[in-house]
Amino acid sequence: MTSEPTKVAIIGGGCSAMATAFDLTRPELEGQYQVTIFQQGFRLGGKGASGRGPGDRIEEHGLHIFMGFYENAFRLIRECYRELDRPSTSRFSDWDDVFKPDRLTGVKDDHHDGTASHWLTWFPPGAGTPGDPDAPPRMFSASEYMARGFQLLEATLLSARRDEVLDAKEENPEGLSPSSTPIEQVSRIFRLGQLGSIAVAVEAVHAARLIAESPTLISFPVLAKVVDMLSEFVNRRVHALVSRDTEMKRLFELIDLTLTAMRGSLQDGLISHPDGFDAISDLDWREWLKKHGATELTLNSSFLDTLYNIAFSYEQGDLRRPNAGAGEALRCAVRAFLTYRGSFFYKMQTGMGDAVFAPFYEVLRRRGVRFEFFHRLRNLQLSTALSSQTPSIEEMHFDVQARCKDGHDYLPLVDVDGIPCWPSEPLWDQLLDGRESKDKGVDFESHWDATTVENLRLKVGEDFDAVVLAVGLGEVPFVAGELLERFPHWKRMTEKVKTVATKAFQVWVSEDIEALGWRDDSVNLTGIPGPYETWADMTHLIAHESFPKEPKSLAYFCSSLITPDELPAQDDFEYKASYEAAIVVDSQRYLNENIGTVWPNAVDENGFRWALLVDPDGEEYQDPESSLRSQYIRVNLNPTDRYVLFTAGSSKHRISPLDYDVSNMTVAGDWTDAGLNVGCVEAAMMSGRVAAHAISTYPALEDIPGFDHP
Amino acid sequence: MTEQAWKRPALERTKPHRQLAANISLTGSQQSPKASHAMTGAAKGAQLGYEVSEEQMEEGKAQARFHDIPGAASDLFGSGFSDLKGTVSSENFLALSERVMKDTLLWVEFVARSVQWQMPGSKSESNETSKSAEQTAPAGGGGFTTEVSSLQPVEVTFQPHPGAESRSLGVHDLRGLDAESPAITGVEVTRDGDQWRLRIGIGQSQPPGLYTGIVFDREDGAIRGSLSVAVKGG
Repeated sequence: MTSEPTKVAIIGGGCSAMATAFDLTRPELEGQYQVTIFQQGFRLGGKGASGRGPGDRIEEHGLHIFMGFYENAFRLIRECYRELDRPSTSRFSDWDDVFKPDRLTGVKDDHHDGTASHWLTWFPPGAGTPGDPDAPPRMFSASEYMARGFQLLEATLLSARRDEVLDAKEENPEGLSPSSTPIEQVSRIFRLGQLGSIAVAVEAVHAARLIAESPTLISFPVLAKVVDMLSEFVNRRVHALVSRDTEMKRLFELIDLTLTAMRGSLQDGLISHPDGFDAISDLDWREWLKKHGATELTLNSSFLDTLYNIAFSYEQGDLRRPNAGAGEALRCAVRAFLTYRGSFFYKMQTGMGDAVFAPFYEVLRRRGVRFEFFHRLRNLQLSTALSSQTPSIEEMHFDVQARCKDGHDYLPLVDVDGIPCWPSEPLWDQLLDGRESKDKGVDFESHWDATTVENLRLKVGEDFDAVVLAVGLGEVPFVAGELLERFPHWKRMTEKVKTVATKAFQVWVSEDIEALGWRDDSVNLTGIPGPYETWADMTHLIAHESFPKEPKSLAYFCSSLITPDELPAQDDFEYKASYEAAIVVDSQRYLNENIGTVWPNAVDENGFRWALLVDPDGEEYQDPESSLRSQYIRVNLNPTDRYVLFTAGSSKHRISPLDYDVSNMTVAGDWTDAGLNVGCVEAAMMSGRVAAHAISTYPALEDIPGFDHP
Repeated sequence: MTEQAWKRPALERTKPHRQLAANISLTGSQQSPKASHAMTGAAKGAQLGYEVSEEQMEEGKAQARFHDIPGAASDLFGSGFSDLKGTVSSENFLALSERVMKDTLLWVEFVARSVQWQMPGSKSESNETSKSAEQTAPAGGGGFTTEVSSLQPVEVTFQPHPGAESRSLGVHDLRGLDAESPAITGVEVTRDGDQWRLRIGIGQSQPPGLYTGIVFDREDGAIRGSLSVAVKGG
């Protein structure tokens, strides 16, 4: 035993790395771990990185919306803000200044007559707020799920009509309906009349919910029978109505989907299965629903498409190849719909880098964590142990991309109106030969930019003791070749767990969304005609930017991008440029041809009104290309930037942070097997916490909400 | 140096607990304060359901009276009531709402009963299934016997409320979930001393499905239990 702290090297600076570093440096561990974070390029964040560009505009990696079930993410972020202790006068003094409830979401809904509309849903608030320290195990109990499921179904039935949802929202912004008692709620349905003939279904759902909430011994075979009969009833009684009535169609799809998931879970015995929902992970989500009797209407519904869209669940980014593991999808849907607290969605009031990674950077630095920016890992060198022995990481080889002047540490943040923020470019003036690098167009974050000023070899026992590999999955083959060679399951993991490239597009517009023709409130909408299927209104961010001529609305669009799985060689400098050029053309076409489906007034007989776009420097353009290039367009092609999929049959090939392949190393990231196994902030944070447990046995696995879950 | 190299600690486990039933109570023992405060059991759930239904019925009637204008009811109820033929009058609207509410009552009762089956000491259901020719199948408990006459396989569930045996009982027609299915009529309830006998006849043409009826008190009209028959078809 020694009193010297264990030196932990974390490779990568995304969500999982922040979580590992935060847990390992908690005061209660009394400095047992001395953490250094090695980061390629100039900023933290990984797929959550953002930067401030011209006009202080926020430039994101993509669209990031937090969900109300992100218990681990919110718990750490809230603790971080508490420790950050910003003055109360700061705009973002606490987490709830930064994360605001956002309950309205929607999908584009296609009708049988070829028309389309938008189905917007207003989710009722859940008790508490995400990350509350009292997250109890009961959140994941079967009885609680059943009760919450019926409650949400009932609420959705009540919100079937868009007009009524809006009325309810005006009357009571905090909740779906001003009526609080079941009697009032059901009476309201009756008055509305639309649901008159399926009042029985409403009542049955309501009664089932009451039963599920009651402290009696619930028999799942009996509950399965009830759900079966409800489904049968709904199919018979309601199906006839849906061809005539859009609202009924939506209700039918939702009810059918919910009841099918319940029925499937009960029929497949997932509640008591030793593998939980993993038992169905080899099936595609849609395939599993079909197996359990979901109707064609539901299987082809916009609602179901949404579940694929939000996770970019398309092989090679091709919308014709949807693929999402049923177990992971079910787990994520259950967590998302049945365990959210506070709001279903939370939107950040600034860039994700500024909301999440700048606070973590500041707090971790205060705790003594060292940050080594401009360090690109080239190789993890394994010990030459016998094949029967567990090897260790002997050396780490880095390319140092840049050095600071006078040997100073790189200080990565800039002040924007009193808030520490990440810039969109390196702070060149801090770097040796920084101006020259800028003029040469050096891109430290690009996989295809090999700029190196020094090769660095770090040795175990001298420079580090433990390693946490927290790079993006796409990067693993490039930095862990020896592990892939030594361990077949590592190689298999990199082959079976797929990633997808994504694209993002941000536009600042001189008219508000109402003037553009959008008829509803601020929204997150998916399913609109591509090449960007998802639109989120982010107008609230304009107040935190400083354009000379202030825009009236701000829209983020995103989608997966069709690319082959195999990456071109690192000297293929044309690869990225060709996609970037193509995406500009795509974006131009999108605005000309498809934006009218949500913003009908943004187009005229000539296509998109290009003068609507606001330049961050106040320039005015009339030609499409100049206008478009004044906006922010991004393609995420770098291996570490690619989004991690959870295709059917892939989950079992993931490597867990708890696996013991290397004696002094663990892994972290949303590509690992760490409980949730889908590509999102929560999965990454969970994985980071599990990695901290692997290093230190802290936190206890039982204290990582959602880790133990079917 | 290699001998002294840091190694990861041994862990108690390396996998999540995926088997929910093995780890977390299924009995609702950790119910939310709201749930445990609001509910005291399945009976309370059923009672609440009845209250909802009664309120609904009253509200429906009031709305019908309020909208006693030719054509108004169809607007009010939209396509949901499109199966209603002819002019919508307040009378047939009332009849329709009562039908819907009655169905609702049966559903509430059915769901509540499903849970009561699982409650300790509640063993009074009768459950018979047969594919044989006409049969008489006595079964029951607490002073009740159920006799089923059917050419089709059926499953019968009878759930009297506590104390029902001392009342004067009747049974409503057993209605199917599908309103177009004919009801099972003519359920006989007779009393022979301390013993109650329920006789149910199922015709060969009865469509498969679940049929449920309320056991009521002939004196005060109160609900004293429920009877359901699942006709499974040949």
